[in-house]
Amino acid sequence: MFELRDVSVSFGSRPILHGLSTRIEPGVLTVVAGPNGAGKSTVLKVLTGELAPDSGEAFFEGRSLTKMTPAAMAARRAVLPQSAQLSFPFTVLEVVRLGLETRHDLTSDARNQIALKSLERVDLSGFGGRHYQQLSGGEQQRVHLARVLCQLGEPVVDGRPQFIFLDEPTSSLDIRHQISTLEIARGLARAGAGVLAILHDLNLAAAFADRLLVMRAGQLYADGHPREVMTDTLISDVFGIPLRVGHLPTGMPYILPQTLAGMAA
Amino acid sequence: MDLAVEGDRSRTAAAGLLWLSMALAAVAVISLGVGPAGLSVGRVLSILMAGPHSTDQPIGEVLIVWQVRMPRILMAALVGASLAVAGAVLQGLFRNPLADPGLVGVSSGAALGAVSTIVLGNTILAPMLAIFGAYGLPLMAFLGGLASTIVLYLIATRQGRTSVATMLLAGIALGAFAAAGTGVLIYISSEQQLRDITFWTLGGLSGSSWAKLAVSGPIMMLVIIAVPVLGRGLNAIVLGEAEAFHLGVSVQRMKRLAIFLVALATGAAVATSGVIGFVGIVVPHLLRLGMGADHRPLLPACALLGAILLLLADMAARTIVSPAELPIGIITALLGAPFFLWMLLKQRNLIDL
Repeated sequence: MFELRDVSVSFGSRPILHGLSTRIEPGVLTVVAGPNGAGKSTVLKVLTGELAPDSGEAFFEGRSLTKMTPAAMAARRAVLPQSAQLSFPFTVLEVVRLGLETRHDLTSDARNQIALKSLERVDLSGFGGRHYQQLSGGEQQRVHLARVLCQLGEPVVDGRPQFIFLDEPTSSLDIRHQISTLEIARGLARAGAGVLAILHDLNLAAAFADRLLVMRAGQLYADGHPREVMTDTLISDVFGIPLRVGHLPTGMPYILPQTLAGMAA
Repeated sequence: MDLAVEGDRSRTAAAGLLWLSMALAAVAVISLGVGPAGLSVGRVLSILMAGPHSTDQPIGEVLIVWQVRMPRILMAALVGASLAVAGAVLQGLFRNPLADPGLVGVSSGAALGAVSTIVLGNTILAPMLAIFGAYGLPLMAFLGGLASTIVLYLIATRQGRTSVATMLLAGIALGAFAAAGTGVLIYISSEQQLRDITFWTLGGLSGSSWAKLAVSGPIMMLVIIAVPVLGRGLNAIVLGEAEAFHLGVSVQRMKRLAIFLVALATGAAVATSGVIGFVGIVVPHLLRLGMGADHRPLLPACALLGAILLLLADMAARTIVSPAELPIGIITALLGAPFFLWMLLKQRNLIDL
């Protein structure tokens, strides 16, 4: 379990997060949503140990992240970046295998097999020999998902849950792969891993999140199941637009941006 | 036996390393025979077998091979290997293929260090030379190279991202600044020092001896042996510094070690042979095309091909205007400068010009 206790971060004189406390539990798909500049990416940076908070503290299983080595953290959590440019000609297989570099117990053949399976999971079978730089943005994003899945290994290792952080994992993807990516994320959570994803698409968030954290101006505005959290008031308070939340017969909330476009016409 | 997996180039890389090792041995033996007193490969081999103190072989030929050409060839190989490895590490660290110790001012910084030892050795730097003796000049070259690498890194890298344009431009400024410093030193130098400086700048490898090799050789050897530990970290850093950290790499520690090794390799190479450009850019680029970008085989392969390239350049330098010699830097620049321009034009989108 990851825990943030009263975490504040500023860049220069500009406060990004103030007094944020929360826990990220295993077995749950947690989605973080909120407008641009709300501090979502900064929360992710603090949770992954990339950024030390100015005040407050971040913990993993009771240990302060500042006291953990990068290698110790990497063995328990993986992070999918928004995008990564490569300046050297690596093949797709080589990029995916980077996720296995810390696994000294594996033979070269085992690494290749795991990497190929991961590529299959993200619908990139047969892409191993292609050059990463020649892929489309969406394909590159899925290559990194495959890499991160390799780093994660099993959802639970030696009885302890693994954690995965996804920074806008669907930003470059077509709708089919948006859904398949979030199905992978949900599958990991069901199998016991802790999953946190930043998402901008509120419909995807509502459809997949077990728990929705909505941020506004560096603070948590709402925290709960999408059914409870996604309301007309939330949308207008957080995003500043009068968008109505509809509900499927199952009770799942959705929004239709068309309703606003219609009003303007 | 299992089938090769598509996209896995580790076998190509292993085969490449084997071929390069054999090519280096061949070029070294040929190089031992080339010169005013030409020796056949067979003669060279039998003299090598007989050992440096042999009396069975003609004493003149034994001297030429063991005392004149051998230290020079070892020096050429080590300098070439160091420069190529330094280039590959700099490129990995800056995440772009256009970094080269000669181009981005690292070599100029090292040269400034070396020249200041020659000019100020009797005055300000006398106490330093009293302690370090023959190691004083390589040490100052190392410090000069280290200072430029650190400054370059601080200027060109923001939040783990390096701007290629900033890096190249900062390299020009740093190089100009170091050259100005060198100019000031030349201006205040005495007649004798001026001769020493000129000799050192143009010297290339012509003054090589076992004694000189004993000073810089072990440093370059150390870097070449140590540098593969950076392989995993440099592979991860290709994705970005944050991503490397997420993969478990201690990024700050790795960067510090990388900068230290680059400065050490460049400093030692510049101290022995002056500024030799473009080896660090041509060699890693050719190897990435041939055997992939994985730094673990790439770094040793750079050492091998860098050594081969400089041995060939040295052979050319010794024979083209024989019995005189061309400075070796002229040869590498003649080959390397057009190559660099070609790369620059090919990658215009990458560097945003």
